[in-house]
Parts: sequence; C-alpha cells; structure tokens
Amino acid sequence: MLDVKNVAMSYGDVKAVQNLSFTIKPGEIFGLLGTNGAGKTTTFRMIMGLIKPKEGSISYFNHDVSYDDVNTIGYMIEERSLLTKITVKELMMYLGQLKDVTKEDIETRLDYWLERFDITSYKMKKVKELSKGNQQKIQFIAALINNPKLLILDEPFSGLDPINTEIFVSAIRDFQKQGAMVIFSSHQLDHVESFCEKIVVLEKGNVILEGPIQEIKAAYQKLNIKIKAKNIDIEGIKSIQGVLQVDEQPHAWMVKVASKEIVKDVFNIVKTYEDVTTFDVLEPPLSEIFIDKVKNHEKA
Amino acid sequence: MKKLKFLIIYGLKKRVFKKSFLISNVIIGLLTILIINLPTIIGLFNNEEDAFVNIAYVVDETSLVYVNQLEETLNQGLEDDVFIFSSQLEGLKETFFDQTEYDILLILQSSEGRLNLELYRFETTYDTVITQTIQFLDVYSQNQAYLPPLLETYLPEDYEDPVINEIISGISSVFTLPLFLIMTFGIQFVGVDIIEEKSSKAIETIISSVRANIHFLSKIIASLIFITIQSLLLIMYGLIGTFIGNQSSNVTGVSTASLTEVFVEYFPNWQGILIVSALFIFVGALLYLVIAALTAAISTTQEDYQTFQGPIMIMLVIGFYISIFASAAGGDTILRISSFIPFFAPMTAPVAFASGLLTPLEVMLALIVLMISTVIVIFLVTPIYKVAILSYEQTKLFKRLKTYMNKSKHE
Repeated sequence: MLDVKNVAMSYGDVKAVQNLSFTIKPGEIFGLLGTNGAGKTTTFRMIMGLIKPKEGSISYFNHDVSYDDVNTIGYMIEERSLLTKITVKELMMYLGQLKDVTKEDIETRLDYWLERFDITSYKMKKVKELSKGNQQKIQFIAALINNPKLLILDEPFSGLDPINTEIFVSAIRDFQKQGAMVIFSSHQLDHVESFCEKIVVLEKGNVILEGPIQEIKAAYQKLNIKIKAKNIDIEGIKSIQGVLQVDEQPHAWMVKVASKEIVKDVFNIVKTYEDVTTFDVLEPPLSEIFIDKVKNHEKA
Repeated sequence: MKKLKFLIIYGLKKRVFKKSFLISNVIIGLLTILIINLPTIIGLFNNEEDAFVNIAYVVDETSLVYVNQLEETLNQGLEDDVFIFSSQLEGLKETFFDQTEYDILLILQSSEGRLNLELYRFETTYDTVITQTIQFLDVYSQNQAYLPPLLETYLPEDYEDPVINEIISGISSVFTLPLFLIMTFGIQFVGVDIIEEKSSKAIETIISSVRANIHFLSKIIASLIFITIQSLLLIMYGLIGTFIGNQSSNVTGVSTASLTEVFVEYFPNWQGILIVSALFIFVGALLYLVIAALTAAISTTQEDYQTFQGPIMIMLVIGFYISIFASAAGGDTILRISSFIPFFAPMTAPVAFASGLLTPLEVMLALIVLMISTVIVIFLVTPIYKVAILSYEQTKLFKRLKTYMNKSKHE
C-alpha cells in the first residue's frame, strides 16, 4: 500500500507540491493529473524516494519510502528516455541489472514482453533504429522488467496508435490483476476515466480536485444533455434558468445545465418538438471537470 | 555497493571494449615508440660533418706511427683541413680559453706505450668523434697488450651545458604530452558518458534505480580506472619503444640513446619524478573529472556540454603549455607559481620538480594544496550534481549553476 500524507515540497520560495494526500491499495490504478509544471514529476520523485518531502510522509507497504524500495518500483517517464546507441537487449540488461534483476530473469521477461508486443525481431536491433511507437514499447518494457509492485506511468500512450494503445491497456490491466499498484498520468483524460478509480488533480503544486471519479462527477453537479430533434427552439432552451451553455454539434445539440433539477425543465420544452429522436442526459466528461477546475483555480 | 560495482564495470566495458579505444591505442602506441626513439631516428639522418668546428689545433708530442693517418682520418670529407697538426705546444694550453682563433686544442702525448690525451674545448659536442677516432687507430697500431688512452678534458670555468636545458625542455614536452592526453581522455570519458545519458533522458530511468551520488561516484571511479589502464598502456608502449631502440642500435650500429635512457641519464632521481608525477596525475585527474562530471550534469544537450567544457579544456591546455615552454623560455617563476595552482599543478608540478625548481618539500606542499582543493571541490560538487542531473534548465551557464546550487541547499 502507498500512503501519501500531507506531503509538501518546495525549492526556496517555489512551492512545488503542497499538502498532497492520497492512498493507493494493491490492485488499484490511481490517476495523478495536472497541467505542465503542476508538480507531478516532483510527486513521482518523492514517491520513488529520489527526493525527500519537506513536510508530510510517504509510506510504502508500512514503512517510509526510501531509495531501498526502487527495485520494486517501475517508472516510465513522459518523454523518450532510452540510450539509443545500444541494442534493445543491451539496454534491458543495463536497466534491469540496475534494478537488481538477474540476467536470466531479464532475458526471460524481455522475450515475453517482446513477444506480447509483437516485436521479437527487434531484440538485437539498436534502439535508434526503431520507430517512435516501438521505442515507446521498449520504454514500457523497461518499466516492467523488474515486475514492479508499484508502476508509475507518465503519459504511457503518447505517440501510440489505437491498436498498440490497446496492447498497453491490456498489459496494465494484467499488472493490476496481479496486485500491483499503478499511478497513471495522462493528458488523455478519457484514458484516465476508463482506467482509474481515484484521481488527484494538481495545479501549481496545489490539490484542486481529489477522490473517486464517480464522487467527483456527482459533486460537480453540472450535466450535459444531448438532443436530436427537428425545429429546436434554441432561444427557448437558453432562456431556462440554469441552462449554462448550448452548443451545436453535428446532427445534435448539447445543452449544459447547472444541476439535475434543470433537466426536467429542458425536457418539458423538448418534448413539444417534432421528431425527437434523442434526449440523453450525460455525465460530464472528466476533461470538462478538469478544465473547469483549473480555470477556476487560475482565476482564484 | 552492488550497483556501484555494476555501473563501474559497465562504464569501463563501454569504453575499453570499443573499436575507438583500440584504434586510438594503436596510434598512441606507435607514436610513443616513435617519440621514444626520436634521438636514434634523428641520428640516422644526421650529417655531423656539416656542422663541424672551424679549427681544431692538434699538438702531437708522441711521434706515434699513426699520427699522419689520424690527421688524414679527422680531416676526411672536409673541404679544408680543419685539424691542424703541430708539435709546438708552447703557451697554447694557458691561452686557449682566452683566444678565438681555434675551437679545440688536442694534445697527444705518450708514456710507456700508452696514449695520453688532453682535450681543451669550449663545448662538448665533438668529444665523441675525436676520442673514438683516436681510440680506433690506437687499437690497430698496437700489437702488444692494449691499454686504452688516458683522457683529460677541459672546459671554460663559466661553462654551462646548453644541451641540458634543451633536454629538460624536450623531455618536459614529451613527458607532459601523455599526461595531457590522459587527462583529456578522462574528461571526455566522464563527460560524454554522463551527457549521453542525460541528453537522451535515460538518466531519469537510471536515477530511478540508483542514487545520484552513486551514479556520480561510479562515473568518477570508472574514469580513474580508465586513466590508470591508459597510463599503464603508455608505460608499456614506452618500454616497447626502448626495447625496439636497443635492438635497432645493435643492428644499425648507431648507438644513440633512446629517450628513456636520456631521461634516466639526465634525471638521476627519475624514480622520485615518476612517483610525484603519478600522484599529481591521479589527484589532478580526480579534480578535473569531478568538474567535468558537474559540467555534463548541468548541460542539457550535447551542444551545451561542448560549450561548457571549453573552460576546463582551456585550463588544461594552459597547464600543458606552461609545463612545456616555461623552462625553455626562462619562465621558471611561472612554472613554480603554477605548481601551487590546483588546475595547473597536475602538469606543471612534476616538470618543476624534475627541473629542480621545486624541492621535495615544496612539491609535497603543492600536492597537499591540490589534494585539499580536490576534496573541497568534491564536497561542493556532489550535492549540485544530485540536483543538476535531473534538471533541464535552458538558461546560461552561471545562472543555471546558481539555480542548481540554490536547489541543492533545499533538497
């Protein structure tokens, strides 16, 4: 279990992270979100024991996390971070042995993952000869080579096509099933939504949103209504108190309302239209909540 | 410790088992062998007759049978007779060093069948030619048991051997060049290794597996071992060069000494010089490696590193030039002072000690100054390295350094 309690880190006057708390249990996937410079990398480094928080504590399986734990943690950073002049096998041997994995285990695990990602022929190729997507796979394998108990993935899907994304998703799910904890960071919030039960959103070192995604959505209150009908009276809908925004989409209209009570008022108008084919009340996507919260925080 | 050991071995394998290391060592080896035997090689092409004396006055008081032959042999190949033979000795010895008419006065005398030679001259260049020629003829002229000639030589009272300074200067450059090369290799080793990992961001994955200070230490130790290996190889090339020189002397008959023999002849305390040099190169290399590691850590790209390492290389080059030119150009004071400046000392102090400009006590003091400076630099650099290795500032060098220094105080 990973327990981050009231953690804060600063560099002089610059507050990198403030009062951050969350808990991850084995088998959970946790989302750590934020804009660039929000404090995610500092948080990752504190979790890995690379830097010590100024305040608070980080407990990893009931002891203070330290560098001695790095062998059980896998880390994949956002950008390409590979030595490109050596072969895939040499790279894995280097990074694997730095995690105290035996040569035999590295070889076995590398073969397994190369097979799974359908890139066995690249084992003896130099990393620089690989495409970006395949380099991303190698970087992912490097994070998994020590069979980590805690897997930190920063933008794992960037640069991947949908098929390879699916392969990554399946691998992460397997790790989850095996009881590993996964911290997941991505700007593709649809992935976060489909993956994570809980999230924390950081902005300039401050926590602006946290908790289980369903609770966050429920607390957000705002809803979207998708309407498909003929001769819609847009001005009529806009005039309803509590309707925040009306946008035209291809073949439909999207109405944003302040709370579920307003849905009924909108429905009462829409039911008078001809040929109403769709009236869907949708939960707001996480991206909408994220943008809303970040903008509000910036204004504050 | 396990990770430190792994990183050291990995770093060494990466450098030593490379084609570039093999190729550079073949070139360095050949050059070393060539330089060691430079005196022999020059001797093979040297025509000493071109630079012979103006007049040599030979006074013969022996009436030996081969004196005429000697006159002929000594003047052989010369356009005019240079060696003028006479039996008039009066006053020549007493006035030799006050006159400018002739350069050499050779007096041949004999007693009980043995040849006595008195050689007066202003400098020693032609001693060997003259004495060997006489000895050669003397051997063949005697049928009975041979006794070698007795030789007495005279030089002006204020004579200063110009060759010794040239030799010290020459040996300084030959001796300092490998030190300079080794230090340069070491700086390249550590710098390129770190910047390769940093610019590719692989350092993020590496530092998530191994502490930054262990990473730092591993790079420094691997470089020091590399420098030691390279130094031992250079010594081996030197020995091979000396051996080849000796063998070729036997074959060609040119008995010019190799540079190693010249070094041993002109520096009787050569063992001390070698020990002092080894100590200075070890501690000096450590100082330079630590700074090179920091430079690579604060760089973000390969281009950054190429720019930032400039000042380090300039310091090294200045030290190199002081060591090879200072004594020849009469800059003994510069050589002495620079021996106490840590950045120059690794190259200047051994030369200053070899030239006799520094006493053993002074050279120890210079070494202590270098050691203390190195320890201080290590203590200052390590925390900055820890921060810099995972930071990617794009500001100018000193601003970047200042930022990392401030950050290191807070981590």
